[in-house]
Amino acid sequence: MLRFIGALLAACLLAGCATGQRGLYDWGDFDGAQSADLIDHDPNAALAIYAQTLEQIQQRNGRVPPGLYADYGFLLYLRGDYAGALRSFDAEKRLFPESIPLMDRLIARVHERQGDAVPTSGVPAPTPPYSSTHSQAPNVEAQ
Amino acid sequence: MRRRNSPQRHAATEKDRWKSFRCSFFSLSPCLCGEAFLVVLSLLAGCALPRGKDYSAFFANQPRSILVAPVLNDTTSLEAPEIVEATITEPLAERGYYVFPLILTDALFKDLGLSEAGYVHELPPTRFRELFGADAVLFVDVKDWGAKYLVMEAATVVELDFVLKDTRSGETLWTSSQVIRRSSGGGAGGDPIGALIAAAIGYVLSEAIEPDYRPLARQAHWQAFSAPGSGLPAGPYSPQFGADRDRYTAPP
Repeated sequence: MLRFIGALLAACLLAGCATGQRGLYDWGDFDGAQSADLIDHDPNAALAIYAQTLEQIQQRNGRVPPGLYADYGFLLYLRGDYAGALRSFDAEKRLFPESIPLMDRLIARVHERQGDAVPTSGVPAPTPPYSSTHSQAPNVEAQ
Repeated sequence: MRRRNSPQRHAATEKDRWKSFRCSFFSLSPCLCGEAFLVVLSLLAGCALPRGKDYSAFFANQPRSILVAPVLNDTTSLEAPEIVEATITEPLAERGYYVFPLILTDALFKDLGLSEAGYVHELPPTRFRELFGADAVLFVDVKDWGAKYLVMEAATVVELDFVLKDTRSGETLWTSSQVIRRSSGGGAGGDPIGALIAAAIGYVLSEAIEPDYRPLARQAHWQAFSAPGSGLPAGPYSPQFGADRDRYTAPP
């Protein structure tokens, strides 16, 4: 019996190694992205690390940890990649329903930005600072 | 402004701190067999002697999601709160809770004009439900952070206080205090002169190279959240959810 449990434990450990999953989730270099942004204040480096980590998790068929898609979406949003941001926020909502109130707020905000960016010129707006308020009328067609 | 970097306060608490060190489990067997041994022992101690924390408020308000508020800093280290934030998600999420992502929430707090941790920690907890939809908010306070030079050794110290509050009732659900102390000098009791030299070299080295505090911060988080009997009961994403309650009930 003991031997069986031992074998089971060993199998679990090995399986854990194979998928890169240390516990409930496959963290990849999540910590590296956190350090890059929160300590080194380099959001571009954080974005690159998250992108790589997500790819690795998919290859390993691991479980994406909470917040990864939300953070990734936010960094995409800062870069002006609104479509990518929306996809990521949706993925976070699907994996973790606890995030829905916050994700819905962010999604509404991205839609507002998209509305701002489309009107007159057709030139994509420069990467907007998150905190700036928008005075432009968002919807031209409605008038 | 609350207790920020006041030298008087530091002088006053220094003594208490060392007193608490002497009483704490870690100082009873310093440098004996390394930290792995200490972690195992402290986990065993956690199993054998439940500290009698009261988890009734916790279970009555069983949270699913936890928001980490901007970390309060009682020390002069500028990077301490950033390191604490950058290392907290994994140990917290691995207990089975949804943890709001720190890169995003850090930016949102700034956006809302709430980057001053001292101010954020005084807000009514219900605000965090309104703003983020979080079930509970975790306040972390850096009490101590840095190198300490004793007679025979040099040590790096990280001390964190944790308070988890419910965002509906405002009740305190859980608290923890962690002191992580990593010795970098000799001080094993064998050769006092050697230890003295080691401490001196450690001092010179640490003047030149700032040590990496991330492993210490991680250890403080893991110990706080995962210690059986005194950590956080398993959350909804853990297979242990609901099954480990007997470990977290105060003894009669």
